[in-house]
This record gives sequence, C-alpha cells and structure tokens, in this order.
Amino acid sequence: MSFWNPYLETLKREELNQIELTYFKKLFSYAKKNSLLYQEKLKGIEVESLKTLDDIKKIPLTDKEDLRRYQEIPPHPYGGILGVELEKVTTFRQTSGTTGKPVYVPETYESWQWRIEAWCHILYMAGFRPHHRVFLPFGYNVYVAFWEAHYAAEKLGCEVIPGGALDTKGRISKILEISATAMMCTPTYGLHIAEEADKLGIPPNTMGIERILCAGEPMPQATRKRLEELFSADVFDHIGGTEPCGWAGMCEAKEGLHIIEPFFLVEILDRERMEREVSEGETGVAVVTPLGRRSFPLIRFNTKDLVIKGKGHCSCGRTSQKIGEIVGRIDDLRKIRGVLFSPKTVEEVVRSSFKEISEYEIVVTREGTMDEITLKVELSYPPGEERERLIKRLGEALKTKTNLSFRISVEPSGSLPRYTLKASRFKDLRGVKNE
Amino acid sequence: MNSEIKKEIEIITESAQRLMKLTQGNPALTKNIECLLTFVYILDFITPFPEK
Repeated sequence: MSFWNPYLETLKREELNQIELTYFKKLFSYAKKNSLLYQEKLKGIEVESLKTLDDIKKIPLTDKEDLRRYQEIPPHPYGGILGVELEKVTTFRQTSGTTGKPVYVPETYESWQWRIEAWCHILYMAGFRPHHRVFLPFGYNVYVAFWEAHYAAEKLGCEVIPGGALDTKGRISKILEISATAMMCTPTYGLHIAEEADKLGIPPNTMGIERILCAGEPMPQATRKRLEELFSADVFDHIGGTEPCGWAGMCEAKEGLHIIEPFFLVEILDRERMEREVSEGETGVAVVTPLGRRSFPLIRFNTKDLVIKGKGHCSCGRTSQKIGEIVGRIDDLRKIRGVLFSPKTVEEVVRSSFKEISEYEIVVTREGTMDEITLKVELSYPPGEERERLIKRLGEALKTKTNLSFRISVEPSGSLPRYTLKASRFKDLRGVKNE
Repeated sequence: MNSEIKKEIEIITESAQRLMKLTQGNPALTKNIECLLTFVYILDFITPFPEK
C-alpha cells in the first residue's frame, strides 16, 4: 500500500486531534471576522474557550436552512456566507435544490485548489495513478459533481477525458476508442452503461475499465460488488457534498471509508439530540467542518448523512477515523405503517440477489388510512412461471429485510426513469392528492 | 523533517511577497505569484507540525 501524503495519513490519533484543534481555532477566528453568518452564530463564544475538541460541542450546528437564510442578503448571490471579497470568487457551484432553494457555493482559486487536494486523497486511496486514462461519463454543469474528481485526477497525473455531451452509446464507443482504463460515475449510471453495453453486444467486462470511483448517491455493498462483477473492475465509494466537499473515501481494503483528516473535522452525532458522539458500530449523523477553506467558512455543518461510525484503524495503515457504512440521508427515512424504512435496504435486496431486475422504483401511497408500498420493477428475464416464483421470492426477501409487505408490479422494459446524476427511485406520494 | 519544510515554506512566502511588490502593474506576473501563494497555503496546510 502507498499513500498520497504518508506523513498526514499515518499521524497518531493524539497528533491528529491536536492539529485539528489548532486548525479549528484558526477557522473559528477567521469565520468570526469574515463571515456574517458566523459573526452572528458565534456571538458570545471566544476562541480562548476552545481548549479541547470536546469544547467545540458548545458551538451551534449550521444547517442548510441557515445558509439559505443568509444568502438572501447582499452581496448577491452568496450573501452572508461569503468569507472573502466577492471579486475573489472564481467559481460558482450550487446544490441540487432537492430539499428547497439551492445553496450557492462560492469558491476562490485557493479554496478550489484546497478541495482538489482533499480529493487527491480520495482518488489515490482508490488506486488511481498517473498511468490511468480516466473517462468521466457526465455532463458537467453548475453542480459540483465530478468537477473535483476531474481536477484531482489531473493533479495526480492521470489522463482525464471529459465525457459530457454524449449519449450512453457514444460514451461506450468513446471508452473503447481511446482505451480508457478507469471511470468515475454514479453507481446507477455505471449499471446503466453495463446494461447498454450488453445490449450492443459488448460484455462490460471486456471494455477495459479496471477501476471505478462512484459518486453522487449512497452505494450499498451489493451494488458496489455488482459493478465489480459486471466490469471485472475494482469499484470504490466516497462521501461528500457541495457545501462540505468530498470528505471521506474508500481505500483498497474496501472496508468502510477513511475520513480525510486533518482536512475535515467530522463528528458523528446521535440523531435524536445531535449532541453525543456515537460509539463504533453505532449509526449517527455526520457533522462536518472543512478546516482549510476560507471562501465559504463552514463550521459544524449538519450534512444529514446517516453513517455508521467505523474503526480508528485499518489494515492499509492509515490512521484516520473510518466510516463503517453510509446508511443514507435522514431526509429519506420514512415511517411506513409505523416501521422506520430506508430505501437503501431495497437497493441492497435488489442488487444482491435479483440480477434479473434491471431497474426499480419504490412508491408509497396512502389508501384510506393505510400506507401502501409498491416496488415497480423492470425484469430483463425470465418469462412465465419462473417470473411468478421470482416475484414471490422478492416479496419474501423484502419482508424479511424491511418488515413491510410490498406490492410488486412488473413494468414494461425501459419504462422506468434512468438517471445520470442523483437517482430518485423513492417516491412518497402520501399527502399528494389525485386530481 | 517538518521544521525544515516549514522553514522553506516561509522563505518561498517571503520571496513571493517581495515578487508581488516588484511586479505591480503586470497582471500576468502578479496572477502567477498569487497562484504560487495558493499552493504555498496548501503546502503549509498539509505539513502541520504538531506540538510535542
């Protein structure tokens, strides 16, 4: 195993804590001076009172709503979240706006390069090296998706091919034409490329892709392994977001994700009160502080990502704290017939044991006073009686994993939506009136 | 090792700041020095020196 930054990646826990506290205090003072959001949020808290990392728990969390509120004031469009003069901003990014008004994120040349350096850790951990020819099958735009990946791959010395403005067939033929050896995409789009390549008579495992880094959606292990099987490639995950940057990545041991320390101070807090740091193996909400970004200082950002806290060590030799698993988004958790349900469980069932399902969608409705959950599936095969047995087996597997009885509806091939960025396979229509 | 690295980073920073003064009025030179200072900032960030 080798490291991108052997010094940083093998520091002792006490050393990392000390460095992170120093960086946190620097950021605290900077934010209090330069960001209107934090001039108000940090009022009454003095930097001298931060003597250990535990002391930071007295600082209120920041959430997306805070950012939206402070963006309403000048200067347009960033408002009071800006940490530098407006004229220093060199790059505009924005969030997708799936939970409300988008957040506009200002980056300077410096902050953007800082993000890229953090991303170099993610790529290097995933085995990306200068000899890789990396294809990015994605139409880059106002979202941050794949921009960091692109520039970080370039910084590592890889040869990067932007694959936007092509349809899936065009991308497959470009991958073959230029003999790409690595790829970065959403898990959903990776599966779609495999499906389309198969339709063209090109087995995906003959395409020459040996390494894939996935982004944009939670990826259950079953999906990751399915992609590995389909492409005969090593497939890696990471976690991040527009506001906090990419903050953890998977190493070649493929057992959870390493937090990129000391770029990020990550707390994993109990989801009921958001106060207590959870123990190893426990699920909590990730609260992230990017420690070196000055264009948009962000302190204790509630990502609303549910993760399982992992070990503090790894067979790879890195000493950073690990995330055991990404559970999903808090926003996606629903109570259905009194049972707490996460859509990721369905993906795990579908991708681990039902290769016949090429696409699916979960729909929750309310009929009278009763919640109904339907799984719509597209099946690549089989017909007749075998299909009936498969549907019965699927229903049983879902019931075992979720404690809910699903209606299963087989849809015509190609009728369910396909996604290139964030897949949205879960629709909660309770409370939506039929016209 | 880090103390030597930190010393070199300081030297580059001071030198870049001196260059910045010398190149006022030449956007190409000042912009490239600004870029240099960006990477110096990152270099400094990724070589923290924990107190013993």
